[in-house]
Amino acid sequence: MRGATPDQLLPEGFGELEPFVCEWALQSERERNRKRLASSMEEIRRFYETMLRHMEALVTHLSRFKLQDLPQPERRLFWLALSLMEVAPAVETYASPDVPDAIAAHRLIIRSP
Amino acid sequence: MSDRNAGQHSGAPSPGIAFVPVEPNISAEYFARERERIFKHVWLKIGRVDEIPRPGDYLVRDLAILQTSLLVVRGPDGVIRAFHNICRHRGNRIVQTCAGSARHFFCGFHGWTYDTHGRLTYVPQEEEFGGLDKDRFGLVQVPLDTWEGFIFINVDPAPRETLEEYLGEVGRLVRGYPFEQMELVGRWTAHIASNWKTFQDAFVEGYHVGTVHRRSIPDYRKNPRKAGIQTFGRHSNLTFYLDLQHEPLPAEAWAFKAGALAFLQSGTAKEAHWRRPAGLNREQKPNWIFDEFLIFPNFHLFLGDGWVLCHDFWPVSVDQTDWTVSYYLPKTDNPVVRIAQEYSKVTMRDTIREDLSTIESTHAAHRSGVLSHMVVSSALEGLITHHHDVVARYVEEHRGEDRRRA
Repeated sequence: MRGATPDQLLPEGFGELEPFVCEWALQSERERNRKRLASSMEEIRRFYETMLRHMEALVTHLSRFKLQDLPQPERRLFWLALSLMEVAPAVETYASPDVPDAIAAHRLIIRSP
Repeated sequence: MSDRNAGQHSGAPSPGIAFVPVEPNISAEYFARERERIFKHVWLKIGRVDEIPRPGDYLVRDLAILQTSLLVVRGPDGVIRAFHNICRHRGNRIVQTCAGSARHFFCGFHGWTYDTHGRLTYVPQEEEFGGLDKDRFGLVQVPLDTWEGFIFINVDPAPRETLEEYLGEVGRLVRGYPFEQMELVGRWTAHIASNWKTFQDAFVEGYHVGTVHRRSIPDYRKNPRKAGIQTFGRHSNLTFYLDLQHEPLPAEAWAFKAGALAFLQSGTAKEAHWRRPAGLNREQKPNWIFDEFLIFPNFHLFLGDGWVLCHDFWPVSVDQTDWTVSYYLPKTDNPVVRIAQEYSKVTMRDTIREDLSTIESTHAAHRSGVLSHMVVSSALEGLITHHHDVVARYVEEHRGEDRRRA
């Protein structure tokens, strides 16, 4: 399946997400969680709402690829979607970047692959 | 203790009150007895076979409760063996890393070298030992066995029971779970200032869900469902039910759509043809979410449809516990499924952070000496009483271990 050309930041049609790539297209759970905790609710909501508007197209586009064969622009799009899932509880459940009444975030060491 | 495997009591225990003494959670002497009379004689889960898939792959576990470091290695014959990570020469630690792949293990003190079977193969200036019989000085082996891909060890050189006997009925209930379809997606660790039993108590009842998880699992508070509890000798089992009633939240709806079976979505499994062994959801209730098996003394195994969660609690001292959680989801090469899984992983992690909020303060309160006992409900919290009782029975019945060791 043809993806975007390698010098594109994101695949065709996802231009509105490009401003988020630097800060939110993060490879590891640890980085994504750190970014969530370091962001204000306004920043998180702006990212969350913009991402949700593109989820239909994002899912359609990425479902044509295999995880191990994602070209770089698709890979960035995939990481953005993982960051959406990272911030989802902050918006939908906690109304706060961090988990309220929980053990301090730094006490839990993220060692996910 | 094997006789207790037969005597299980089941179903929904009747309401009642039980008092659990606090002293065993704060006494250093009691902790020393737990070490000598329990941990040094029982089967303990220390990993999974897929962590060391190829010959020469190894992992190292430094276990304060056993006062040793263990080296677990897959030999050229494919067999996994465990050894004390101690050179037979003068006792130096051999492997310094926590995992890797090797053909030989080389002691950094004087260069004694062992193969992946644990055999001593090379001694520098061997002739100066005047006819050293290297066959006598291999690494000290530790009994090891596997169950459903989990690696267990027992540092008693002559274990009282086989692993199969030790696990008993619980081993049979879980048989057939498709562990081979799963892969590790989440791992979180913490060092918690609490006694190991107090820590584990936080994960063996559903009673706390309405308060600790009032934000993350609001459906429970609206409609609390009593968890099923059943004991199997020294082990036990909690079955968790939940009526999911809320409209899926936007990100959750995407996770659902992508078909990821996860955490609170277990009930949707019928459509997904997930293979569920008969030992799970034994009462076949439609609002079943997961079964948790409490494998004595320190391994909690949660099994849902399409997700596996392992809690490993490793006592360090009477006041300190190292803890690791491992979350497994079905292997996939589909990026959209992987995105849906991330939702499941993140919500699991955040929910567990809520669980951890009460533990250190509970332990500190026990240390204050204000309470002599905890007051628990037999119907809701019976597995707390059960675990503390089993610990107490081991400590009582195996007094002889201290003398045998002396």
